[in-house]
Amino acid sequence: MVAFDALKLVFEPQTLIVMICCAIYGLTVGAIPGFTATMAVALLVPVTYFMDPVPALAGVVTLAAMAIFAGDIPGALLRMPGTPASAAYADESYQMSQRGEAETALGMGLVASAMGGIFGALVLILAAPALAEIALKFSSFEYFWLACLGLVAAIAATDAHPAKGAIALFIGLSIGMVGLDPVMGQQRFTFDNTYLIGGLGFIPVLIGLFAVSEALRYGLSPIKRPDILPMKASTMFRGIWGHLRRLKWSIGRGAGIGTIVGAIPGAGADIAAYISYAVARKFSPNRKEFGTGTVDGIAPATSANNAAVGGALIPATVFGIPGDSLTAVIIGVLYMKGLNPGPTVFIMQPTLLYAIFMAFLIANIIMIPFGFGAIALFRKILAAPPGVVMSLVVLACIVGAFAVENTTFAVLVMLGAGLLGFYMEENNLPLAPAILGVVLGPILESTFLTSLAKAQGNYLEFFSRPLAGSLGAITISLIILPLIWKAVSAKRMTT
Amino acid sequence: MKFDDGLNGLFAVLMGLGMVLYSAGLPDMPHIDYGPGFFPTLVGYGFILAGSTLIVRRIVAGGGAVDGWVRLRETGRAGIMGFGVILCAILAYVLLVELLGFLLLAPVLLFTMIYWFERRALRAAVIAIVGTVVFHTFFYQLMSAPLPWGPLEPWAGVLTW
Repeated sequence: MVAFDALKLVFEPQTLIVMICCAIYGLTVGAIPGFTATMAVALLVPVTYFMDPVPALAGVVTLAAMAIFAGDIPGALLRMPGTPASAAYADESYQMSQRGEAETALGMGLVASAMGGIFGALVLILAAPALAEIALKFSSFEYFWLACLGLVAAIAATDAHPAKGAIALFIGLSIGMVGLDPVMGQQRFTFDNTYLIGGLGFIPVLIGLFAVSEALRYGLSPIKRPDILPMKASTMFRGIWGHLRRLKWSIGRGAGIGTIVGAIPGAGADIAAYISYAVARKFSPNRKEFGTGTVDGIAPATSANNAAVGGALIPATVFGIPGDSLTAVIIGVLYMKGLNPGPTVFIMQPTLLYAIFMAFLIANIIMIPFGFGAIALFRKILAAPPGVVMSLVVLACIVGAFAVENTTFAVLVMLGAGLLGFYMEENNLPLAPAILGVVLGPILESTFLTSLAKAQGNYLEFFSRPLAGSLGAITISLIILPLIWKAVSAKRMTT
Repeated sequence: MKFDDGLNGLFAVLMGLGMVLYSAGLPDMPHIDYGPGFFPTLVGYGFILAGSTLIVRRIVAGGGAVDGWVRLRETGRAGIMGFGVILCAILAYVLLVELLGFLLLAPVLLFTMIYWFERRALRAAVIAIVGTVVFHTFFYQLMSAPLPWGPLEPWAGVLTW
């Protein structure tokens, strides 16, 4: 009954129109090199503010699914992955394009992406409610450790030095601390400014970190329009069936890896693609062809990054813990729409939540015709002058931040966050831990202080419950094990 | 603009020190051991620890070094101007939107940015006007976002369809 009601919500005209618009928008933005999926979602968030919850969230998940796939297109035709999630196999598909096999690379990538996405969506639909049952038994201790695990994993998952990841995280936590403290309601870091009492707005901060920083970087060194390799979209699906039959297990394994990696707090679609590519290379009978341009490397990796989005939505909806920066934004939208993520949402508002899951499943199915359209029109998408696109993005940022809070102070906050994001990216301070810090900061603080009060200051109590103890052990081992590994490697090098 | 990691570490340490000092000044709550300053203090110490690690790494291993303390990207004057155009466009909106209103200010900002990056005046003018109308229609009329009218307020009824 709930599933039927949820489907009815998804098939309402308003929801379908929003999903179609978001699919086109996601494929367009994802296909432009330099525009990330998170940036696309950040620019959409102010628009969702004015919508009903189901169309708003259906639009966001559709956009996320489409943008991750669209990143493959410039990867194959320009050697410039549209989103970081496509970086693992961009070289592989570009080499195929150089040999005149761009159609096969993209056709196979599209079908494998849709298959991975559908797999991730089905796991999400089946696993999330079951996990929510378990999560109902969680206390503040488990939530504290889950939040810690997400933050520590986010640092571990970046390419940057751990100290830089930690600084980025503390920046995010500091942004989240402005306003009233979540336990006592005492003002902090407001400096007698009434605009700051409610905290720094999530949307202006988000737009600033992910979109304004990108615009400032473009202003400093505008991107040249690159040359595109030739491709005939009409022959894209020729010979695909044979590859699919041959690689079915490899694609399935990629989807499985993607879903699991995506579900680990802190790890995202890009890491899922790298791991899946490495595993495929190890087990493929054609492993010698890897690195020379083969669909055997592209299909499992692209299946993994799309499956990872579904996987990341599991901890996001069940625990309110984001898997990556993209799901951190989705959590922000869930809060904005009054669907406070956590196990109780599965009991209180199951229809709304299932409608969002169904929308995500449908988005992955319609990815094939829409993706085909994006590939066919890629040359036209890229023909849009970058200076015009970026100027319109800047105006969209300004209007988006202003419209949501109805004050120019929000635009100032956005600019501040933009300059901060620019500084961070220029100095290799990763943005993902920062945005996770903004979202998870208040949860971390309130669960930490509540647990401390319950434990009457005894820190050992944080390990007293079996699940909390296990989560705590995993979190601490994520910090300690890399240090031990580094020390052992250094010793081996000297001897 | 890339800073030497010694400087980045120093920024983090100073930020942490500031947070610890600020948190010490926050009032304690009666009968509660962990007041509003407790968590910011921990974050402050985290900043100090991470910043110090970066400084030590820079000194011991030389990681994160740049020529001098600060390295500007080799983009020349045009790059700095491009950065400034975007920065000033956002600041101009903050300072002038209430005075001029969205419909008068947005075309000027869009024209300036597009002309700077594309150097084609007619194209910039057409896109600036069409873009403004599209943004205004979408946000003001469809999404009901209260974009300011400025001096055009008396004609708000005529300009809304």
